[in-house]
Amino acid sequence: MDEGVKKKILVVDDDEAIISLLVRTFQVKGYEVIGLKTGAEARAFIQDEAKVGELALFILDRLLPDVQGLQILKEFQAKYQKKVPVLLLSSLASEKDVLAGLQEGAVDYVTKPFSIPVLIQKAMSLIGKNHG
Amino acid sequence: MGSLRTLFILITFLSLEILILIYLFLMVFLHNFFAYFKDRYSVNKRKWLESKIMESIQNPQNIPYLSGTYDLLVSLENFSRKVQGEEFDVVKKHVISQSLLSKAYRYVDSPFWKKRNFAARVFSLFPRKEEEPLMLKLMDDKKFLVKSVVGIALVKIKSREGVKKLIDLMSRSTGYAYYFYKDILLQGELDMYDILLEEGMHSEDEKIFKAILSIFANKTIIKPIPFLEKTLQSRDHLLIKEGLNALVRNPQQGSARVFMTFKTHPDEEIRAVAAKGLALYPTDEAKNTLKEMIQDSRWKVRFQSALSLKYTGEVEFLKRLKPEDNQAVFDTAQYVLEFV
Repeated sequence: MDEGVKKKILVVDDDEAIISLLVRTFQVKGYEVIGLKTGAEARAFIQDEAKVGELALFILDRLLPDVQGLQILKEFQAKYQKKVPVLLLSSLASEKDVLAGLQEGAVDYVTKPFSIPVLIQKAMSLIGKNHG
Repeated sequence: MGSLRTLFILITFLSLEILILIYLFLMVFLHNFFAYFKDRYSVNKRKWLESKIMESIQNPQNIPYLSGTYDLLVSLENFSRKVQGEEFDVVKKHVISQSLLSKAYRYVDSPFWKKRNFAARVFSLFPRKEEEPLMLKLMDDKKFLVKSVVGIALVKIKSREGVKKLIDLMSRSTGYAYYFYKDILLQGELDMYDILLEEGMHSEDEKIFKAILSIFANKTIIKPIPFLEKTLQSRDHLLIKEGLNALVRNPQQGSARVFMTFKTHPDEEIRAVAAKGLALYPTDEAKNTLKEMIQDSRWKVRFQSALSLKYTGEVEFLKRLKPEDNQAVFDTAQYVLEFV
């Protein structure tokens, strides 16, 4: 990562506690976290190419109150074609659910309850691979 | 005079009724009034507790004292559904030991089931071997919402007595409770199933056998199941079916021969499971047996046989089947080829 360039992570999750947790977690690593709670907010955000251009990672919850996370993922990949790695976060843990997420273009799938160090490691690896 | 007296009694009764109604209305109003503020307080308190728990995860050397009984328990449970790992375990252990454990110990013997449920939930959140005797006591509770919760804790600590009690409860339950206990037992770690194997070896209770086999029918344990042979010699068709299902999931030496033995059993359910088991053995003998079984008069057996033939690579055989030879067999094969 270049010195002075502060990268951002977008987190879309309807659970405020998860957003707060991820904000604190990634702040320690020098990342700014943008937290959104609904699919509508996520849709509005991903329309802005300039904002998406600043993202190092997109963490997306599958179960949002207004729209399916997979639908948001589909729209995001259609517009940005894997320029930003997407990590799906979900309590849906069956093989079928994980496959569905990966088939839609998510680079990784983390099930809840998740381990914070594991999530950080996965996130850093994805960000590092994307820069590489 | 008489009518005046009657009127007086009537008015008195009416007044009493109105007073009672006013009293009831007042009680309902006050209850709702206080409940509203109590709920709001609870929601705010839980948000505050969750933020403190989160701060503690980031800074485990400095965990503040967190008071509260039910709200603290619910906050910890909510967090457990979201986060796991060593850091959270440290915080959980600290908070439970400091704020909840002593209450849980007291509540084990409470006459109120909600307090016993509280105790079960505390033990379940951070189960320890030290609390095993108390957990086993709660397993004997008459309330489902107490024993089911503590059952989860006993499986986590691989309690021998706990697992035995759970399988016993499962064998005597029906409906929702049966599946709940089954799900708890299916969450155990691999070495926990040694307890079930041992129980199966020594129990004479057929219901316990069925319950244990039902677990092994849904869990691969990669170990021999010594009592399967005895099970398959039973006259109870349901027991044989459970035994065969367990064998499909946990194939033993000589399983193929066992499945072939049941190809002509009078019970179609058993024949169907036997056909399912043969999918694991892509040998000529097994395939020939399946080619016989696909001619069965019952749909279930034909379907399973066709599916097993497909899985063992006999797609061409299925495609060559002709309606003029046997319409039912042909239809089954087509169904499997097209829709499964």
